[in-house]
Amino acid sequence: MTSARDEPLLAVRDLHTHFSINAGLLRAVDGVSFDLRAGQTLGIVGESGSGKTVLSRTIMRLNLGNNVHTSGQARFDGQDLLTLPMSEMTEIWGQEIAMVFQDPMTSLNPVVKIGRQVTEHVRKHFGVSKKEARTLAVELLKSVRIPEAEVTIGSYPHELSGGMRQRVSIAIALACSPKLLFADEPTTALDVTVQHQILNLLGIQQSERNMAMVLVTHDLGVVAGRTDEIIVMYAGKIVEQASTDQIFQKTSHPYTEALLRSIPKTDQPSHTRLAAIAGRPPNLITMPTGCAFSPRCPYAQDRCFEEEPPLQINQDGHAAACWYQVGTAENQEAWDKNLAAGRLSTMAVAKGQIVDEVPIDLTTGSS
Amino acid sequence: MAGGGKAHLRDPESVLIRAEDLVVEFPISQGRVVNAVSGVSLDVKQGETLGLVGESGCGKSTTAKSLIQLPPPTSGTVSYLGTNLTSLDEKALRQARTDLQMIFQDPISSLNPRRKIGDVVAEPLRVWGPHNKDEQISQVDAMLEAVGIDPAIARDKRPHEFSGGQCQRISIARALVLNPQVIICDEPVSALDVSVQAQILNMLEDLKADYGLTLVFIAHDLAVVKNISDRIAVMYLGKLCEVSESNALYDAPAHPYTELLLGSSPVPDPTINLDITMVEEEDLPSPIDPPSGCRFRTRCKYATDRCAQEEPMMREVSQDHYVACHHPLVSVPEMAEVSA
Repeated sequence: MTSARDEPLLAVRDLHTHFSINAGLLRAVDGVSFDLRAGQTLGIVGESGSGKTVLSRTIMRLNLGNNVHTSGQARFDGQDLLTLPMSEMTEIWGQEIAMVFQDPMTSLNPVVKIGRQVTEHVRKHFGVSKKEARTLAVELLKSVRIPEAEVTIGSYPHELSGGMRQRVSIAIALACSPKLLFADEPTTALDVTVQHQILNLLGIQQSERNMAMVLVTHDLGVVAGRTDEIIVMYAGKIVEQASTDQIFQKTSHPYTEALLRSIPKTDQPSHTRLAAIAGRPPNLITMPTGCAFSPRCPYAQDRCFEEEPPLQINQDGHAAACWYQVGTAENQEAWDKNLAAGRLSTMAVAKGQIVDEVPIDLTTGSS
Repeated sequence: MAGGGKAHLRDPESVLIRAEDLVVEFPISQGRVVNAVSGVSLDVKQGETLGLVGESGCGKSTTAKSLIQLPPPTSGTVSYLGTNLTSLDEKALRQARTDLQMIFQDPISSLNPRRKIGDVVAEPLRVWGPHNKDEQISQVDAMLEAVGIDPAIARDKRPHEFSGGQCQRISIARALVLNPQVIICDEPVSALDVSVQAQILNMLEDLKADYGLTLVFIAHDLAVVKNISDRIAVMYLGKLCEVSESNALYDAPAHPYTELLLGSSPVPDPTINLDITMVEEEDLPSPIDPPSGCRFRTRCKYATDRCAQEEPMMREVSQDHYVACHHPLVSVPEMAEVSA
């Protein structure tokens, strides 16, 4: 065994979360493993429905209901969160692991004053007096740069702007100085200027408190420059995992490349044609055989439709699950072949065509 | 910011829409008003895409909606093809609006969940004709095809059977079915994933070319606005800050607010030097009681006493690039100082 010093704060192993619904078994998270060390930031990126939110909620044990089937391990500080009794989990919530949600309008209680919401955890976990709690609430609101904190503790959420409300959510999450913070699309509902500041605030608080953070987002622009490592998810699986620099500079998985290419950038001239991704994310109940991304992938070959590529890690610690990784000669060959054949998902990238339905094998894949 | 003045307006003969001195006020309790739009002048040429960009609450949607008199501005004029829309009676205005259509931010809630797609898209035709059913169906089908939706499959389905991106395309089809001149796009991609956003942006470009459309495109994401726009107007708290040809705005932003927006825009590149320390203490000031002089001064790092006293006027900094700022970030030719 490794020494305690080397042990990651959070070690997730082969995590599966499946939901039984009327239509069948929905595999929202399907075999995810990763490590997160103390003080580090991990970005989890993917489209809607890729399983990124279910993943963080599974680790937090927030997926309730009889139809949820979870397997695997999520070891946090030496104990497996997934097998912990709920009574012990409530001790961990807020105190050891905290969460910031996407929508600050609905994650705050509209009929409880800000001050009480901010100190609820502290009063529960540490049993501090009302007076101490008040002082602490003011301190916490000041740490997230809320102006006139003494006044704000007496306000209700509707009296604050969206950005200020999200700062309050962060103050609540930070109240007990957790070791790990899950931020699930914390800025998606906000303006760019407010988003920038909320992300800065999270970063500042994180380094001051040496807290680890998982930043879940659909926007690769949000995680660039703000994370140590990035996981790209597709259809409940990790398709690429590497250090932030490697993800951007040595993009290996076609899905990551496609996400990056579809983002408009300010350094491109106006009216630059964007490379679209053909098709839609797969139905998580009836998954195609082979690689889940193959019907939408501009490089897909016969093998991709038949055989699922494993997540392979190279000597730089860069992992990707693809038979024709971006940047290889095989990849270029596959592109040329598909372009010549006029495959729909290849044309979507080459010409920016809009393609909704993509065939699930190669033979019918030409336009 | 502040932006009084009309130096950025072009020859009225050459533009399709010209809005002058738009003011929109919403009365609230105790006789106070929300100054949503305070003297904005804009023009859009035929075939041009005007991007309107700014934070939530800056009045960009209100400005765009007041162009089609939804609601009519408190004061100011909007002329479309030489007609002053603010002076039209209800009947004439309804007729004029067939030329000016709108698509909204949330694609799912902008379609009636209980109606079939074929009926949703045919609704404008039921009002304005042709009233012949077969003609309606063939026009609806042509429109759905133009937005990449198979009419044979979609006609009898309902909105919940489509993804967000497809619903947005159906709203675009509905907006286009009356063959309008102008489409006002109110944050049409803000609620979509990046991959779907790329589809919609490409599609709007194609439709614009195919149908000779003029677009007014509202968004808070600068990269999105740049991608689609020919000309961009930056708004702050009910006023214009900067108006420019779109590439010039990004190459050399002249207004400190544009600089702030650009610096906040997430860039998918970790090597970019990110300012990770900036956290403003203050919120956006209230449009009920906006700051005197330049409205941006309370958040501006270059602000001086002059900014509190005197409202800056629009002036030209280079060709087709105008800024309303006392301390612009680029040098201003003396001759270009133009007052309202």
